[in-house]
Amino acid sequence: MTAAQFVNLLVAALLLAGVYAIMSYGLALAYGVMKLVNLAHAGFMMLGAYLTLEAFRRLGLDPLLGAIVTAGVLWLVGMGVYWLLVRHVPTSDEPTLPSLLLLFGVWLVLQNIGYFIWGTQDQAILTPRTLQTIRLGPVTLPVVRVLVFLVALVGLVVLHLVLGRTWFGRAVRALTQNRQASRIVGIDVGRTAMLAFGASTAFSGLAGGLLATLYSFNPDFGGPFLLRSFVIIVLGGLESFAGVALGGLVLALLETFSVLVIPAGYQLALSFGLLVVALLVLPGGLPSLFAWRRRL
Amino acid sequence: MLRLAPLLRVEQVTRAFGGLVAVRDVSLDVFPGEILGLIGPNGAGKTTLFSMIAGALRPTRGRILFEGHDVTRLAIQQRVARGIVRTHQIPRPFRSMTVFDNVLAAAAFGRAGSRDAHRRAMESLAFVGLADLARAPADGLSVGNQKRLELARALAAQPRLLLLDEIGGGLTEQELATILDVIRRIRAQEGVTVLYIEHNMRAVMAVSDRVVALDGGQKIAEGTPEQVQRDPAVIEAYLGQPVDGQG
Amino acid sequence: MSSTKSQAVAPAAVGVSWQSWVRQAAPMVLAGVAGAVIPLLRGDPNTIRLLFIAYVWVITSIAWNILGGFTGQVSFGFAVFYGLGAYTTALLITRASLHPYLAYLAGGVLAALASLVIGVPAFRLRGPYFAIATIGVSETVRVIANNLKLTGGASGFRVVERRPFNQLEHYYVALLVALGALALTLVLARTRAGLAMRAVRDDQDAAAAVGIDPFRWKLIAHALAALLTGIAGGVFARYAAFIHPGGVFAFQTGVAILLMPVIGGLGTLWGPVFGGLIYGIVQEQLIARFPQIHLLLYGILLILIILFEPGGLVGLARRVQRRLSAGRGRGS
Repeated sequence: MTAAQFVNLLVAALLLAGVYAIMSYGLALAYGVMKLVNLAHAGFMMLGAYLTLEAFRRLGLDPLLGAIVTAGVLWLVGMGVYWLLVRHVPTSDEPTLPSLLLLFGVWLVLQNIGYFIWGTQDQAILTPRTLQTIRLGPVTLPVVRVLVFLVALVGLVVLHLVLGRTWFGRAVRALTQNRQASRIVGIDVGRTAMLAFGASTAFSGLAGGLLATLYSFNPDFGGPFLLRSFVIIVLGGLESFAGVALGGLVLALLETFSVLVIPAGYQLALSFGLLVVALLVLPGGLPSLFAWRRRL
Repeated sequence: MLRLAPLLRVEQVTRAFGGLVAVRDVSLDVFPGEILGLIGPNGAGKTTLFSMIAGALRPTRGRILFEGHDVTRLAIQQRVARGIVRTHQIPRPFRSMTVFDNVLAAAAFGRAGSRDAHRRAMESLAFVGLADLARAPADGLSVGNQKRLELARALAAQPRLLLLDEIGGGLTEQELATILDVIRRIRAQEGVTVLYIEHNMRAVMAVSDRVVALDGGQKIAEGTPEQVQRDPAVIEAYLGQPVDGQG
Repeated sequence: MSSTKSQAVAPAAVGVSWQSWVRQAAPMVLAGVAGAVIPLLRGDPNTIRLLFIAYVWVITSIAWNILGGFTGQVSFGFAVFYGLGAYTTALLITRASLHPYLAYLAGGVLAALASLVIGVPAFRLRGPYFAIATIGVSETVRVIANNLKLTGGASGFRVVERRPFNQLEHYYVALLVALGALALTLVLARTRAGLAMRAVRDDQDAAAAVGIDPFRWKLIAHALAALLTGIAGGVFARYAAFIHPGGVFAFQTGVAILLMPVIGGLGTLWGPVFGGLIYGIVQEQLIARFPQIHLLLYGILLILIILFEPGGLVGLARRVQRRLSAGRGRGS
């Protein structure tokens, strides 16, 4: 492999990591604030992809913009799902099985609605941009991927600002660290949870819309990404937001470079294997590796 | 007093959580047939020490010996098989089962195995005075009855060493007196050794043969209830300032 | 799991009187007789086929309930055992000319062994993390099966049997295995093992505190469940005569296996039976008419059940019964 090829792969992985990070933040928010293992994340990603598709087809809206608009729509959808369904289910400091099964049910429903409305055939969003590339020295970058990365980056910056500067962000961080203490301090758990779930869904939808510009998709497409999201947030340490970005990078690198070694069909199996290993060996995620060093 | 070999020996046990040292170099012995009280202000490390003896936590350093055997690394259910049984401060009944089945589970899987499990379960229930609630669901019992169930369950597992975790918490004077009486009877009739953490000073003094006091993760006093009660270090730990003399 | 009042299974005194055994076994005997008699009353091949499929699902539902209902561990990955049983049986019958019933058993045993291999690492994870891991395992196995030449890969495997096809034989075998599975759960529920499993479900740490090894009992429940599911897969494979990873190893299959007992009534004796029967009989019509969205109904049912009646259909029936008898008794 030449240096140019290596650099190309590296950059491709970095670009992918952006979307992976966005996607996983959706899941991380729901988990951090409400300890929800949100299987419906896959369904919301699917919705994001299809709504972006429809906006493109019917309104001629540029899919990157469409993905952002879709994120807004899904924020509302998420809050609705929370208000109608999720808030009635017992939650605690550990994920509960009823919440797991409920969100699984939501995923099933969303997926089947997807089948009903859009059928099972693969779809793709094709724009003049889809095949364009730009060259920066030895590196050839598909324009789409660069733009997707930029949008994802903007999303991450927004998330960072919101987490750091708004009451909502502070409440989210407090609840993620310690639910009971947050309640005692007077944080409105219900309202925060509803907004957080909406935000979580919005990120899922944004990621779905962005990914739809990169890959072809059908109503099933959320599944593999759901599992990737779990891998990432487990790698990132279930409660660390910075860790999620790190986890996204690690997985993107692993996937991008593993294609050289194993057949594409097994790539998913690799991710799952990594997930199981990560759950067993690193319950604190990658950040726990740093913690060990500090303790010594 | 004739000293037999200790039933439980805690040997220079330390437990650290990252930078925080919750228990520092604590040693104590529990002798067969005695009731040993473990006291100390909040944050003294009692619960951590208790958890290590019960098996819910591993010491960072040190050993725990039971009947001469090193049990430091044994899992909770393995300790139960050897006769170390604990109750929980906040009772944890099996909510989908009846009171009887809760105790039956302990009788069937405790130290004595499943022979006569039914009989022993009924006996344990009778011992704590819950016999007429045997068929009631464990879910929805009053706090006092939950504590009794917790105790009955522990007894049904045939303990040699019974670890009681603040069993007096949240009880009325009446209920507390009853529970203390049960504890005395446990020692008298069953020959069970008892180690118990308690916040309620009067309860500890009323029922313990000996008392160990902890503060800041270290043992600060040991002796009869009267001795410990008057120990200046103990008084200082509870009140936060040295007192000269009277307890 | 959630509401417990609708989940209490065993009577107050476990395994005490033979009368209570008879009382619980009697409905099973009746069900068995009813099942045996149906072909005589309405023996057209379509009905028999429908009921056969329903019985297979009853077996998997009962199996899943042992791990998910009694022991409280939710697994999304039972397709692994179903598929392993199916393929083992298929291979042994076709390539080794093994007697079908032995092949069924072999399929079940292999699935049980697989459950240990999966369970030893996976059960170190708590509740929902275990569930996620099972999704991963299920999909990994499917991908591997898709690429495996030995079993025909993605194009599937055809079962070749020298015996002539006898639909009624398949029907009665499925019925017998289903009854056997039901009897097994009755015995489990009423013995020491059932106590251990329920204790692990209710409070794993408290179970350890009374001497029950949660890890061990999860493995035992998993193995029993895998055994039954593997046998069910084998029974199905021989009937269908053609299996492929996209069917028996599909994530959707694992999902269906989970849905049936949950909807029927998790942790109860008869819930899985109802869940399996309903799914088996209704699914056919649904798949025929709405091939894409047949799981929509079950998704909605799952949501409704989690929100309103965690005890499933059995729980619902009990609630109705209680309200009726309360109204009658007190005249309020």
